[in-house]
Amino acid sequence: MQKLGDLKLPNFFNYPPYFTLQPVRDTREKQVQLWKELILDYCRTQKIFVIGLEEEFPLFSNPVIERTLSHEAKEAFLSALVAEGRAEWMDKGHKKCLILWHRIQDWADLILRFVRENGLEDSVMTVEEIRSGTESRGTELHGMDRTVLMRALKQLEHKGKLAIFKGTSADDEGVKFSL
Amino acid sequence: MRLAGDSGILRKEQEMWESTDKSLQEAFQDLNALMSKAKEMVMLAEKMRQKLLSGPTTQPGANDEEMGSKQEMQDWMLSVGIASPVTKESAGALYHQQLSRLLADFVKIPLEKAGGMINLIDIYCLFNRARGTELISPEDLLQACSIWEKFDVPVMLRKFNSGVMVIQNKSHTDEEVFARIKSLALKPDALKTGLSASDAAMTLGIAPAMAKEHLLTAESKGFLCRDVSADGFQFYINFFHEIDPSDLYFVKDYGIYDTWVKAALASW
Repeated sequence: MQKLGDLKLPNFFNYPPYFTLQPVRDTREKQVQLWKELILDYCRTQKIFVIGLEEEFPLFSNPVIERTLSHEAKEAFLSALVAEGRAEWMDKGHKKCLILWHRIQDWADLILRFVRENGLEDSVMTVEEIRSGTESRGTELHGMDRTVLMRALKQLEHKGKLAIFKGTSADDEGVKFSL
Repeated sequence: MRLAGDSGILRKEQEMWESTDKSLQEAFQDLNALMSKAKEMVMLAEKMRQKLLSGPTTQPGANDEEMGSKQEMQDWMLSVGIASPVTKESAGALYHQQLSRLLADFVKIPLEKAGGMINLIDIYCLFNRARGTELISPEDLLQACSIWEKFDVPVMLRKFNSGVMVIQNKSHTDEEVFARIKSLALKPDALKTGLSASDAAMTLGIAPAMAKEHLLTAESKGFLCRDVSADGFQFYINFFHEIDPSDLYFVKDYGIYDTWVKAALASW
């Protein structure tokens, strides 16, 4: 079985039509579904948060069959993810796409679980510590995208689960949990 | 020698032309004389007009010689500046009806050779080449073919989404073609590298343009899907619908997806 990074590639990844945006509506719908799933799986496995349309993205090419997705195709598949709420365009020109292989809500839940499991209910942590501190190692929070983390934290702040405050230096924001 | 019939008519006309010719010569030499000749000319023109409007007309497989001589007269009159009384507008319906029947007959053999469907442009060329003279225009052809639906002829005009127009046997069904294309697309080579219009054309024994139309139609029905790349434009058998998005790795036994995997596996 072919692999791309840690992701097992399904057989249809070697089907040339998979890399051509299909014009027939029903066929395209099926094709789009398959690409959405594969993109989310790959990003989850490789912990990729942003896809740049103008850069090479390994999943969008298959050297075995010598096929690459056109820009139009990439945009179509990513737009479908955006429509479903599993991705967001980071710019008007649709050049960069934020992939939410966990929705913000899911990240928020993961943070809460992390806090409880580590007995951090009333403590203070920096934002950086949440995503790169020793406690986060081995958890999904480790290495997560800062933008996504901030969004999740803001959502939790909104629910009164924590408070975000500025630290001593510009990027030293902290969090006070109050679960 | 027949006095009645074609040669008789032609001979009479020959005499008429000769006398007309003489009239013209005299007229041009003398402008005043022309004025008096004018009345004669008008009478002549009237006679010619009547001649053209009358006479035997519709017979299936109309007499070419007859149509020929009438055409000659019309052309001659046009060349001396007398507008043809039998314009397509006035005899239009008749002209196209005759043409329509002629064509229905003519297309039988080319249609057979082409496997039941032939490009309209090809018929245009074949028909006019066979005619030799009095070529028909594309509009004539189109109009004549459009009339077919009013009559009980075994052929029909068909327009594809792409704009391409073909003549096909009424008995020709798309289902037949799709079945043939499907089996073509399931052959080992087609599974590995796809099916191009020229591949299909060669195997089905039809023109590449026709093959492409069939492939596109099969695609629109969901039997095939396309692969566009630097290598060209190919079609593959479609099995997207067999894949479950919630289990990307599952391949159903004996399905089309399964068949494709087994055939293509060797080349990976």
